[in-house]
Amino acid sequence: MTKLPRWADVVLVPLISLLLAGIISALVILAIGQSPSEALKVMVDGAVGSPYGWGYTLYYATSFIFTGLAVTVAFHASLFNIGGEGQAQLGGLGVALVCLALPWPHWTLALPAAMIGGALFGAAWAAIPAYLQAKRGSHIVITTIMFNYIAAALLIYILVEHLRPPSSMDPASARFGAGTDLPTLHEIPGLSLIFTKQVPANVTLFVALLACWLVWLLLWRTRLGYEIRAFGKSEPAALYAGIKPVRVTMIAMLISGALAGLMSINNVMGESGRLLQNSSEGAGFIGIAVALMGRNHPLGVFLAAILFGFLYQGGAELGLWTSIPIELRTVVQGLVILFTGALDHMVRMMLGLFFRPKARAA
Amino acid sequence: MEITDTVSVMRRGEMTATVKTKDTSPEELAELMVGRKVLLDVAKGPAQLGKVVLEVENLRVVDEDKVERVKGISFQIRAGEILGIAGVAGNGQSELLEVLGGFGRATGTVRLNGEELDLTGTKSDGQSRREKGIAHVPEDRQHLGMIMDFAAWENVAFGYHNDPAYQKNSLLMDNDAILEDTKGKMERFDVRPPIPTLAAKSFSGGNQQKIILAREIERNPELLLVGQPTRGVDIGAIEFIHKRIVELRDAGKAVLLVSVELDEIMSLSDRIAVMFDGRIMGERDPDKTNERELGLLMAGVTGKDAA
Amino acid sequence: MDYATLLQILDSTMRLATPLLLACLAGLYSERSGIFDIGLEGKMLAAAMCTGAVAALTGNVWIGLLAGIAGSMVFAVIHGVASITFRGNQLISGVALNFVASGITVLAAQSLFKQGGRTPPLSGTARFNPIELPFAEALSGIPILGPFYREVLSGHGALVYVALLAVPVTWWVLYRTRFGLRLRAVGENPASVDTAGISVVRLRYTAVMITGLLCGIAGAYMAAGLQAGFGKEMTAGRGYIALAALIFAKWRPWYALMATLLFGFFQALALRPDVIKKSIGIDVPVPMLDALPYILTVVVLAGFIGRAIPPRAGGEPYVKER
Repeated sequence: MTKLPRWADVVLVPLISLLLAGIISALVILAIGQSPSEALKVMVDGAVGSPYGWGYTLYYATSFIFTGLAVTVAFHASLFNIGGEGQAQLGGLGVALVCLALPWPHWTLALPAAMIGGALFGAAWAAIPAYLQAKRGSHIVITTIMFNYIAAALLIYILVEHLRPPSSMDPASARFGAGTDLPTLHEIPGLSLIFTKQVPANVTLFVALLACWLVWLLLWRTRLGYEIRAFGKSEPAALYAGIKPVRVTMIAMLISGALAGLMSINNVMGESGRLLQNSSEGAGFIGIAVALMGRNHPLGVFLAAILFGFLYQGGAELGLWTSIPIELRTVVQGLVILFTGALDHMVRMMLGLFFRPKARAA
Repeated sequence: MEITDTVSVMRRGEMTATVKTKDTSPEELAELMVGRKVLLDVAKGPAQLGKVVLEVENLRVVDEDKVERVKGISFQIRAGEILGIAGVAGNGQSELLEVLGGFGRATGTVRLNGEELDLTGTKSDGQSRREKGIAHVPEDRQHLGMIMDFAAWENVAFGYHNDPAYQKNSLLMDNDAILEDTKGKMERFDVRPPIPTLAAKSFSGGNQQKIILAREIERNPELLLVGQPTRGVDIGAIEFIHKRIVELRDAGKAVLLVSVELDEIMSLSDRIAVMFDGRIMGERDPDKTNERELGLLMAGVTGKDAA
Repeated sequence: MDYATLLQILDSTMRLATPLLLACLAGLYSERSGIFDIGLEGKMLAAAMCTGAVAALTGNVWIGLLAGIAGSMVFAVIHGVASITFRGNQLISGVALNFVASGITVLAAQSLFKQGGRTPPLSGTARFNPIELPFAEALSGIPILGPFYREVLSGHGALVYVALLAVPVTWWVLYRTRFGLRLRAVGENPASVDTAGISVVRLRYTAVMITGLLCGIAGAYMAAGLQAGFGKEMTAGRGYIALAALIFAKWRPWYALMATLLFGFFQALALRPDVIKKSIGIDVPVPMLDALPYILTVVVLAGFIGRAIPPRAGGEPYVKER
């Protein structure tokens, strides 16, 4: 196979993968008797055609940054954490418990506490599969998936039996106090000039950006990150270097779970203001696509999260204005994972055909 | 020997000879197995022996499949001495290196400068061994010694990433310091191309080995464990690597050399121990032995059997 | 728990274990050949939708079954292309195909029937109807065994017996045929198979196609046997539970039968809160019962098996040495 220049590998491969996923999605839309160009127009208009649309796109992107980072950290340790969904739901529970525990006077106090709550619960939910992988060799892919189902059941139980206000029929918690309301982009001085209407995107976006930077520091500037990456590349070599597999597996998964749990300050605290059933709405799974598309780098995760924010918001608009079911989003998500994560060799081979003549000339 | 009609000898992946069993002897087979001596000139003065650095007593290693790989071996290495372990691959040498290097579990006693090493507990890992002054050039450099996808500079920190010299503060590593260190090491060990940011897999086998050697030898260890130092390495680099190992010995350090290349063992070692089936069959002085004698020991034939 | 209740639970164990067993055997072929397949779930789902749709349109369950197998095979081929031809990451390919299946089944069902992503309810010849085994009534007088034969073994849809039959057939194929020998070899050491002049690629594709076939039958049973029609995400993690059963069974057919019967029993138990309450005296909340099969799957994976050694070459793309 022709070796690609670095920029082609980093930029072109994901873009071509996305293009391929787009073409197949267009075929799917054609097959169900709808117009792909019309669909794309609805998506673009609805997701990025107005500040209002951007307000939603960025809101979704915020969640996806967290779950994408969660998958990324685990991936670097060669662990495939499919449990982001369950960890995010448990994180939501942590956030809700913190928000309901005290009459918070101001969001600046509530936010750090809720972040700790969300991260702790998310990490705790990742801890058991991590321990079973590290100590007993139980396949982490299967255990984390099982924990997604268990989380869903647990959340229903807790919502219905414990957190639901007696007067309510909804499986949802009581509303959090006003002191936990996070400022939306509309309420932030300066940004309110752009976002003139109320939007769900909120200060959590900046926490997410901070998280990107911290994860980058962790992976490429700390001893722990060094150990995680070395362990992920080769377990025998890591042993030779004195890196302890159980420790690295546990820590990487705990960080991963904490990041997934952190996303809940965006949706549970920032948007709905109470804990709903299935609060994460599949964001944990989208993290896989985001991490793969973003080449497991925080900057890539950020860009891919915006892209999927667009896709998610655009998909919702499709469901609203056309008769294309909202599940199209899941198809595109699957296709992106397929092309960037499993068929990447094929994409490279295709690109290699273009780069070969140049390489010979040089 | 007892059940075959003809015997074929394989060496370095090639069938080098086929002989009728009844027409041959263990001695002839031994010679065929080790091949003819390629003269490797290692300029090496007489050993200046110091105190005992490494003492191994009754070391036993049982692997995951409950097979005993090392069956109670004992030996010593003094400062300023290279002990060569000869043997056909798979007779317990790898396990010996792994246990001394801190991965793999064992029973028995191992003392470094009189201090007992942990062979099973929490202090039985690569980090603890390095802190005690044991450096290890592993047999399989691509599988163990390096991360092939990591850049050269990242591999220079491999195993030493906790070194205070590589830290900026208590949280962050000082990547610039590692880069600087790598540049110096590449120059001193003549690594080509001398580009610290190149991935390890882009270097030739010899240059990969030089990077590892630079990393381990420049730590100035009390004891250097080195396995197959020149496997898959070009001739020029072999000479260079041998020279560096002898220099370390002349600086008064102990070296444990494991190699399946008998030439290498004979030209580098101050003393040779031969391993067969997890046991040490005997120790020889390289000046007073020959390849035939060693070859017989490697095949598990002791003096008594041969006679 | 009295005997009649036990028989009822065992009866639903048989039905609930069937898709697990078929999927588990499906995974066995693929993984024995060295191809990990997380995508059993997606293939079952695709098959369930195809079967549900075609059976509803034609009114014939057997045509529905063929459609289901075809749908599952399409996904199997894509997984094969990604993991064999292009040597991609097999775990990621499987996960990706599960998402594609999850979305596209709803899209297709919605565009065909406009019933909120479901297929219309099936009845009559569009379903697998119970088959009465011979002498079920005549033998029911025999104590213990008679009712067991009538209630538990007899009276299931045809695919339940197909699944049970697939166990000895798989055993025979695996351990008594040349194909089986090669299949086991290619999962342990593909290079040796290649050296013997047998195509690794072809063997693995064959295995992946058998996986597609069996997942197709499993999905068809879900839509037209266990339930009456396709619904969104109706497989509910069964593909993953089947994988757990496969690990529990250490990749062997007869153990697969026992493992899936065990997991089927867990699922059957979860459907009977009354029985659980009577047996242990505690009123277990319904969501906890829903979670029970998943919790027990984790417990089984964690506790009973120690370290299960998968086929050695599993997950590794085979690169021919030059």
